[in-house]
Amino acid sequence: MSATPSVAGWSGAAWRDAWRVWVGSEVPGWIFVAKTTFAALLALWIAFRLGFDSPRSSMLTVFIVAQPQTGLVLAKSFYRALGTIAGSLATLLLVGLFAQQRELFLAALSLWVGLCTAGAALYRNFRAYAFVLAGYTACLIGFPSALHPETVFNTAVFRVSEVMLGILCAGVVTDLVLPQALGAGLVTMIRGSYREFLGFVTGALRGRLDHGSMERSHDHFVANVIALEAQRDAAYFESPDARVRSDRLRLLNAGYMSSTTSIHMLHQTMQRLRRRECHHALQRLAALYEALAIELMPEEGVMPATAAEAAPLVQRIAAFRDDLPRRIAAARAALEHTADATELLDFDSAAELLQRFTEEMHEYTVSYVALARPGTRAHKPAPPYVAHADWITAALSGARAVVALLSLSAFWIATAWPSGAGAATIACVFCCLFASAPAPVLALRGLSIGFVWGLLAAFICGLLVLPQLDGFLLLAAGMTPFIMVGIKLVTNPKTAGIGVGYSIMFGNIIGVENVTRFDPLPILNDGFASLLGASVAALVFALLVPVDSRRLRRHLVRSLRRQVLMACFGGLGGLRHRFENSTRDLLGQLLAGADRVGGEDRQLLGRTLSVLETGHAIIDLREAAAIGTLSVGSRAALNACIRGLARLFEKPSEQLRRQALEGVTRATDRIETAMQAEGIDTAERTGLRRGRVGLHLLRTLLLDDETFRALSAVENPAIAAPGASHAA
Amino acid sequence: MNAKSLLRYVLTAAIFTIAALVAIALWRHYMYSPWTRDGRIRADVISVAPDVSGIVVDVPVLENQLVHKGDVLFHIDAERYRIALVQANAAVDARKADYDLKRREAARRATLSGVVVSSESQESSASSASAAAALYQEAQAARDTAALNLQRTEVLAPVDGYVTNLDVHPGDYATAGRALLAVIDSHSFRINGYFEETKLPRLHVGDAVSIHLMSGGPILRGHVESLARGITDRDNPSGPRLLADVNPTFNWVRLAQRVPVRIAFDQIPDGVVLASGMTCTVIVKPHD
Amino acid sequence: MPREIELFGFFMPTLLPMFLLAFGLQWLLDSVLGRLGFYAHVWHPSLFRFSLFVCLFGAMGLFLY
Repeated sequence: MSATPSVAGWSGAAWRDAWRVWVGSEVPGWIFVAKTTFAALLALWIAFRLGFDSPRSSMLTVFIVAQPQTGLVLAKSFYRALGTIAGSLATLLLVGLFAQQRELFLAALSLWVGLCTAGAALYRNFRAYAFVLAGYTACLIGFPSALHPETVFNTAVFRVSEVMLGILCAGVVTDLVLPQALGAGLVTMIRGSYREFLGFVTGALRGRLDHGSMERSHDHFVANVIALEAQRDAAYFESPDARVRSDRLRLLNAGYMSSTTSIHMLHQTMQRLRRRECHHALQRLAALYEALAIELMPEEGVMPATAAEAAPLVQRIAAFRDDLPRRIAAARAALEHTADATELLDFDSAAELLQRFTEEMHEYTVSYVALARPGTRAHKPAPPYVAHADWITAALSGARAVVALLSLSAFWIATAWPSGAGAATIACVFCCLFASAPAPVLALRGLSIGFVWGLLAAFICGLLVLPQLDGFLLLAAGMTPFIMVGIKLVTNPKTAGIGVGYSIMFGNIIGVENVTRFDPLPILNDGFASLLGASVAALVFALLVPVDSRRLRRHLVRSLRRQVLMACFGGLGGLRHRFENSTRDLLGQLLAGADRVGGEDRQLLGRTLSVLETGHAIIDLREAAAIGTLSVGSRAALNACIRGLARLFEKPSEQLRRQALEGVTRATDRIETAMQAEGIDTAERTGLRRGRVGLHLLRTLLLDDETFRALSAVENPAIAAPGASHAA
Repeated sequence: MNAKSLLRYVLTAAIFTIAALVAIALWRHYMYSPWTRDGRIRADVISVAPDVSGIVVDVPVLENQLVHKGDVLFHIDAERYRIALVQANAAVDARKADYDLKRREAARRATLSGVVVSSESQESSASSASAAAALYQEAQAARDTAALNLQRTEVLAPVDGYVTNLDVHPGDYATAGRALLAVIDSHSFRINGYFEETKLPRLHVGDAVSIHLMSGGPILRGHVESLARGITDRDNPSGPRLLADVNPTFNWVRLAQRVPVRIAFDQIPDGVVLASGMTCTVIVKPHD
Repeated sequence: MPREIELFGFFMPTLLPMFLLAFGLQWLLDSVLGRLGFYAHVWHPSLFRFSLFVCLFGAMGLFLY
């Protein structure tokens, strides 16, 4: 279309194409706008009809939970309802305890809000929203109650009813009128990511991808895992179909995650082999990789379009997996003539990784194929998604909210400003809402711009348009254009923040009550209160340990390294998944705020991969140490080695590195002796071999200067966060 | 294939139709069938004040006690009023003596001829006898008042009912006209049901009513006695100087107001405790 | 059937717990139908689901009044 020189020269077909493009890109957005406007007005009407205290709460709820897809609306609604109820109960309790003393009550309220904010920062998905709501509902009900404690019960009941009404309207309208289900998008996304991954894997196995593109796609995979998990979570609410598949989806996601890790670990190993110029081993391995690539994609560029078409792949991969030990043994036998012991070990570890990858790819494909079958259960219990819970960040967010709320409460008490409560509420909302945002100050800026426009729109609509109108239909007609502007802004990701701010401000300030009152004074007062609240929240975010600050980033990067400690000391049951999952989650958090131009994402990725490699090797080692027939001395040596590694990863230094290396050497000797011993069965031998390979990998990692630098870089602020200097 | 896709539409349309019908039926029931959760039990409350002032000497009733019409509620010290009666009696006697004297004198003078007493003297004694008669009557009235006051030192229950808010104790000084306790008329229990105006057309005087007390217990029976014929216009209060103060704007959505409907109990079963002000749900069964 | 229900000394219309009950029933029914693959035979599954809920709730409500 861009190539067309002038409109006059367009043929009929070109017009039709343009029309189709426009319909494809614009219509869904406008449908969403229309649906949301309708739902908001419906909620307003019912709220009027039922005589609620503040009908605008219902309308605002619709604005807030509105999303294009049903599943997202339902998920957000569910957590909003949960949070509202929890917040109301908490307020009732607080008012019951501290009704006599306003200062004490406000302090307790601030504490509660702080706790909720911390909770919101701890969970960064829809669950966070429940915490946000629990916090700000408490403010919304609590502030008026600070003045009139006797009304608290009624206020709470009305608040809950209003929110529930808004949720019902939004949910029913989204689900009934031209529904856009999450499920369809999810299927496309899963298919896309499987095909993409398959293409990537075959490319990588055939050695066609350079290091840079490998890293870029890994970055992309991390984002994919997190997005998939969020969508799965939301789709759960959508239909029984999605609920039935939920477990299988989680399994699929877990398989996806571990396969992407394995393929990258394989790649890292190959990189190291190349660096050390082990040509013989590389040659043999390349042949093995090629064989797998052929199994995965027999015809060049032809990939299964759907899960059903992928079914034959399962058998092919399984056959290859069963045949793989024989092939490896053959390759190893051929290699024994030409290579020394170290190179053989390198070969072993690479072969081990290949085996693991084949196993995981098989699992992933099995879960993928199983999705297509209706109504079957997951073929094995799905591990839960484990997010990385960062207590320090959470505590900081909580503290921020407490400070913001306390200072505004003090201002309110000192000046007796009638809208002071409104300002404090808005500040609280933002502290909660942006507790886990990567760039809260920026987000708040967008929101504040939206606020100003919303205030202006409310002024025009409320004082110039509405007084001319009479009756609900005309009211709806008069408000519709103003509402639509806000929702249209929300549909564009670039202006979403402004749109949200606009909608909230407009809905809040226009303050339609059933008995009409036109008065510019409260509009201005409340409007300025909201702006002040937003500014205080922004100030708190900017001043009180800013989120972009070097220190916080460094803390996150350090926790990335400390993930290894989890591999060292966590309970062994499901440890591999937990370790991998939380490391991924942490990486996702870091990447969200990473500076791509400065290459920070590359650094982070490299570091994460080293952490993952190390962690998996340590888990192998721990599993080997848990083998029953192992002698006491050997077990002690293995455990000592693990402890040494833990010390190193807690605080890297050259000395600890040397000590850890010594520990690895001792453990290697022990494990080799154990492997020679009589009377161990095949499973135990496999375990020992894995431990042996793990030890070799650890030694390689420890010896590799580049890896070590990546791991200990946090201690050196110059390398730690190159993007931090201009992020503020 | 064709039948199958038809089935898809038919299934959806069928259940949607049923749902629509059910929803309409429920809405009608909820909105128009004459029932309300906003029913209050009402009863006549008689506030009892002493007719005479004095120190309370005895309160024979207890709070919440059932009393019958004519039962003594409390005694006011009667001594002063007894003395007042004696004094009034004495005054009556004195006036009577005086009157008798004047009457006889006047009669005597009237019988004598005009030679012995002047007509002027006759006239004057007759009028002084009339004045004495009036004074005697006055004294009699004062005596009756004193007797009534004495009688009113015993404060009696005006109706059958329950003593409430008993705020009087022996030794208190009771001022005439200031209420010291209330008696709830036990025969006057009824219900004010506040019905939305939309429900009034389906509600007629004499309709049977079932009453669910919030306190539980058996369902009570009653009937609609009458409808209130006026409620305040909340939107447009009357302004100063009797001019209307009309709201310049109007509600976006009009809500039904509520009109009180008086409901009488058919009978109150034994064991059901009613208190004025209690909440109840009232369901009217319209007879068509 | 009482039209008001008491819960911890606070009264609400019976319709409210009924709504929750209908919601739970609907969730169960929905899961069963979903597992049976019933929604493949329905033109607009969410409309069907919504109508089903209205039927459940409405039937309960009509039973009440």
